[in-house]
Amino acid sequence: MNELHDTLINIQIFAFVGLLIWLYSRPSHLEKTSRDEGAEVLRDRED
Amino acid sequence: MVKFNPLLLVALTVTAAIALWGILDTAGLAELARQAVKVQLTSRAWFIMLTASFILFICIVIAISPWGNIKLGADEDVPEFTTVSWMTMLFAAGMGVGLLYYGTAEPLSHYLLIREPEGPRRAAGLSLFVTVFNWGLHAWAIYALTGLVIAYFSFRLGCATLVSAPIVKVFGSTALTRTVGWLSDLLAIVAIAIGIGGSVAIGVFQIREGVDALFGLQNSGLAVTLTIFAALCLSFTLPLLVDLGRGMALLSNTAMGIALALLVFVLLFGPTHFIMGGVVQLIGDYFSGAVQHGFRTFTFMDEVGTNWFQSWTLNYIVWWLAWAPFVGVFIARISRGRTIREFLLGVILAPTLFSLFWFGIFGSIGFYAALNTDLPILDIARDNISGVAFFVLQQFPVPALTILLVVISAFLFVVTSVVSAAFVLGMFSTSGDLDPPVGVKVMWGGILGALGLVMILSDSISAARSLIALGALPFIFVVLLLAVCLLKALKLERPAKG
Repeated sequence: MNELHDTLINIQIFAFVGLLIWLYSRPSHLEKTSRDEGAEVLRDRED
Repeated sequence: MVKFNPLLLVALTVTAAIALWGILDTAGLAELARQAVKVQLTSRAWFIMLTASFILFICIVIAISPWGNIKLGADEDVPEFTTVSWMTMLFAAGMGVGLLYYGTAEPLSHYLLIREPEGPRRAAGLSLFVTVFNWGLHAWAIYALTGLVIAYFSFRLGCATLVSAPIVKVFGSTALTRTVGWLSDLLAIVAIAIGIGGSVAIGVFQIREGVDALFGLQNSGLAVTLTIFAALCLSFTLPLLVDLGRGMALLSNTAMGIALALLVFVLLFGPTHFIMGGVVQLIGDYFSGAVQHGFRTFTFMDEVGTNWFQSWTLNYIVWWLAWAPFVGVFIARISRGRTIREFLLGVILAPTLFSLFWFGIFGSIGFYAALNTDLPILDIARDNISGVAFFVLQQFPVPALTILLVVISAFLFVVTSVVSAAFVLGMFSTSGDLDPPVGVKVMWGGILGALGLVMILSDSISAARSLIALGALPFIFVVLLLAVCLLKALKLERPAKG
């Protein structure tokens, strides 16, 4: 087994897992849209 | 008139190029796939096992959480199919021809390797356990999660039925997310095409063995194999040209009905007490050991052990990944109106229980022959794995009838799988069109047939499995990305009341 190749494949996996954790923790487009819609509903109710 | 969008064009080019390469240089492609898969499975074994266990864990958490009460569809939607008919369709979609092929053969293949170190009596139980592990909770959790993401985003959030849709919906439509989504659709298409091509090859090998057994032939040549393949191609082309509507569901249910009838036949006409003893022991072994086995990577085994682990368990998990987008779309389509909890428990538990009975019964009959008789069943399992199912049936009454039924059932499983896959591929490659043009479906049917032919020409199940693994391995990243999309979207749902 080529050690360098093995290391590269596993670095790719670690990087991907890190990316998933980062994506999960940051606010997403869907959350922003949902927050904006919620604020709009509240404004409508106040009006 | 077929409109060629870039995804359709690239997907057709990639899959057709693989098929053409395989036809021109079958041995070269098979060897390349074997080597590439060996490197990938060696380096990623821990990640694949961890991912399978993680997916099962996520499914269980979602099912028992308040999110489980969320409907897949509008809150007032009701399920289209009765629970029994829904479950029957699940088995047929996810298992298909592999059930008939591996029922007795797989436990015996494991047994051949572990009977020396473990002793024959203990090895029989372990072999059944490993077989059901390969077809059980972890496999169905992969299908369930993929199907849940597709169903939730399509029916609840109104997205297109595409693998890319959740990514764009959750992270917004930017150049980057559209590119990642596009690549995900492409990976899903390649994984489905190669996975179904493998299924065609396995079906043809199985039918050929059945024809050999029926007519008393000894290893019939390529001519018989290609004749069977041609008959299959003709049979799946017609439903692609003409919409048979519910006729396809009828064919699929017939194949499943035959398989169930064979199960009952073997149970009642075989040594029933021995078989039921095997099934009950298997249930205990499986539920007490499945979670722990899901984390087993066989790192400290010798080369024989790690090769065995790679060529069976790891290969299976990758195989389920290859089928996940196809089966995921299918089970999503039949599950509208069910709650997430019903969906997850139904999709994961019911087929696992069925697998316990299926492999418990067909595996135990194999071990009865191996341990208590002089029948050469182990030699057949070692030399010709495709012939094991028919050898078993030859020991029962009316073998001509039962073998014929297996051949018909395998034929129907392959035809319905190819027709459904051509539909899903057509849908994926035309931006989620729920009624893809006939021309696109026929083109995909042709590609699936050509990929099947490549694997048939390799004349080796292990070569077919290496090719499937090669096509499906990148999809593991897509499934995990989809899981993140689902979790982020579920966080925004208000807790639903049961």
